[in-house]
Amino acid sequence: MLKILMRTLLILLAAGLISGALYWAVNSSSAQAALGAFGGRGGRSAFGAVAGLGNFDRPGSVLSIFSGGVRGQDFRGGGAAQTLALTDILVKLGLIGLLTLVVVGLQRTIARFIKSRKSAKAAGGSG
Amino acid sequence: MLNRTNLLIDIGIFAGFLVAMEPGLTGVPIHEWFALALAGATIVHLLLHWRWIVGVTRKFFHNLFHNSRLQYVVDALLFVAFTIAMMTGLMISRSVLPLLHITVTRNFFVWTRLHDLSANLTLFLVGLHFALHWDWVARMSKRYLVFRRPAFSQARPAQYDQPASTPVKIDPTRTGK
Repeated sequence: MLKILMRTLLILLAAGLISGALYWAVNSSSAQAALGAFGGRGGRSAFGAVAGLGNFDRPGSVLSIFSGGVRGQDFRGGGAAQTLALTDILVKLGLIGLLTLVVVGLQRTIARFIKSRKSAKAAGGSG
Repeated sequence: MLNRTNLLIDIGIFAGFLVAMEPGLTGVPIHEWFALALAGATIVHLLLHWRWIVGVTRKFFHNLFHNSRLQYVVDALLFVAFTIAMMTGLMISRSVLPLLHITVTRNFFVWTRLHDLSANLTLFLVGLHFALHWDWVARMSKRYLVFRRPAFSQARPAQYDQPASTPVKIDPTRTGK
């Protein structure tokens, strides 16, 4: 039990270190200047203005879990977002499937290549 | 048994991740709480694979070209990307942090942009993570998820396995004759 607790704390510590470093990077002025190279507009935001974010991204607005105000609407205020979201999930699944196919194919090709090279070497050595 | 638990948890995390990636499907408040639960499930996933993590960490520099080394690098990057997605998500939170009376209004647009970037990177790395562990996933799915009908000879009761020419002995005491 203590072991599990210690391991969990270790994971949280690692996550905390990453988060702390990122928080420092975003809030320190020198890091912001560096990030501004990605397209900052007039110092408003390090990454530049994010257009058309609608109601969701207005700072200060608070949503409760029971409000469900955004459900059925996308971030830009458009409707039928749930249908779009389902399509998006399918697209993402497809992309992951495609990536898996490519990676597994590559792995098998490399393994076959190494195996054939080894067998060729062994055949050369024996002859 | 542990493999089965691992497989079920992994399927749950994968499905949960896909749903959490679509706030339009659930609404933002559920998206936030769901993502927090996903972080908890990820910790459980890491705890269940702790031996593998420690084992590969120890021999990381021993064997340069090894599959587990690549898996380790991808997994480490995935952990970083997921942590950033969670942290930036909390910074732009509209439901979780306000509940704790914490509001962050500084650099809101930066956090939003970083959240989008890290979430997309996490998706790509999840795909890579899945692909690199494909052999394990396929093996375990075959073992635990695919329903296999027993072979015909095993499904039949033993008495039907006698050749057709063999006469069937009838016990007269049982037939009542």
